[in-house]
Amino acid sequence: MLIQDYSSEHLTARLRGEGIYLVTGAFTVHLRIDLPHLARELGTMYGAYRIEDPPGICDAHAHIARLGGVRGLLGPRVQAWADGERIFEPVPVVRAYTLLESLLNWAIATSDLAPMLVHSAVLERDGHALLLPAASGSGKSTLCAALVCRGWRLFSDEMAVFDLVSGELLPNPRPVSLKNRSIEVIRAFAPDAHLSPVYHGTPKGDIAYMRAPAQAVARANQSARPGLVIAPTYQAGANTTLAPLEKAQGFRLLTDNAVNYASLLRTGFDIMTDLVERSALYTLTYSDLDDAVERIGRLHAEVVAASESA
Amino acid sequence: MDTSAPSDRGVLWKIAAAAPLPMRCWDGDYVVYNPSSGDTHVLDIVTGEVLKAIVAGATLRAELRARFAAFLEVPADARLDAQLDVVLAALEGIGLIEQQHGC
Repeated sequence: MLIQDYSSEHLTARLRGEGIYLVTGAFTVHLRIDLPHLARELGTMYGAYRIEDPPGICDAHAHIARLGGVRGLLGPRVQAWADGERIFEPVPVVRAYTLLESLLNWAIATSDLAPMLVHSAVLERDGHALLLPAASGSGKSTLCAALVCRGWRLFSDEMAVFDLVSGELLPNPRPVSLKNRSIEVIRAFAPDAHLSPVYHGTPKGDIAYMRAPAQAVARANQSARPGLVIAPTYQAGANTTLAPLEKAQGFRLLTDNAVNYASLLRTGFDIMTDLVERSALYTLTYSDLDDAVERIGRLHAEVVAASESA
Repeated sequence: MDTSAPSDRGVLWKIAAAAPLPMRCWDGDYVVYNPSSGDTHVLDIVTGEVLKAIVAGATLRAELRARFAAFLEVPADARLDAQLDVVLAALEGIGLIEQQHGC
């Protein structure tokens, strides 16, 4: 069953009671929420997601509830728990949704599945995955959102998830996190995109989330092989520049952005070197989103054509 | 007649790890995984070529010196010896190779 198949009242009651087993790609989180407004926001942003019923194995037991007691006197705040432990600082009730997203990120990063994780947006087109590895603040999520709005399949705006056996990328399509000026940039770029309310005053400034397309969520069990890696950097006023990256540089860039490469030992080395060998590697400097999306599309088409003729 | 440098005699080099070294060469850069430490190293072409020679079984310093000179296309002189010492020390420092003193 999908979340959207539940009435708002039923979803709220279930989240408050036994919870739901929310499936996002390869991950499943047992989620309980005691806040009706957050249950409604979840219903809006995650309507197309599957609830595992009857529940199976999950990656984390997560719970979000209003804080009582002395902390509550400071103003209504909410707290997150994962597997019974408090995680993250409490946040004001109005920002509860940002806590939910952080909690889901945490559940993936600490999953027993233990795939290789790289800080990178991932998209797919024509069966080939595109990685956009970059640190926070590089314009990665903005570019990811723009590509999604132009028909690319969303895997993740935040984390590349590699299957340890096949080396393929596993989809984990979730709402795309947009910060500060990016929110208006995407509103202008794609007026039809569904954005959450803007959450003000987070440690990263203003945040809004772009809902993942239902088609990406429905295909969340379809992995893809990597084909193109582009490390993006937003630079105000810059012309769009795509420059090839040597493989050793690409390897360094990818391992620098990896979350758990070192702990995977030989398996990590094999997946990472395979990724580098099978991918075309580039850096991208951009300021014009339309131009960047168009150039990436052309490059991707060339890479796909070359791969199919090889 | 022995034409090797004085320091060559009796020195053997070998891979420090018991397991094979997974290695890739891309456009003149070597990427190698050390199974003993779990570390990955990106090596320049010269260091990578020396390591490759040791992996291939060139354990005598004199042999490495000859290969190094041929690869760089320079005479096997004192300057080359100094360069080779730097490379070997670097590879030993990151735990990829170790020396054995023979007789």
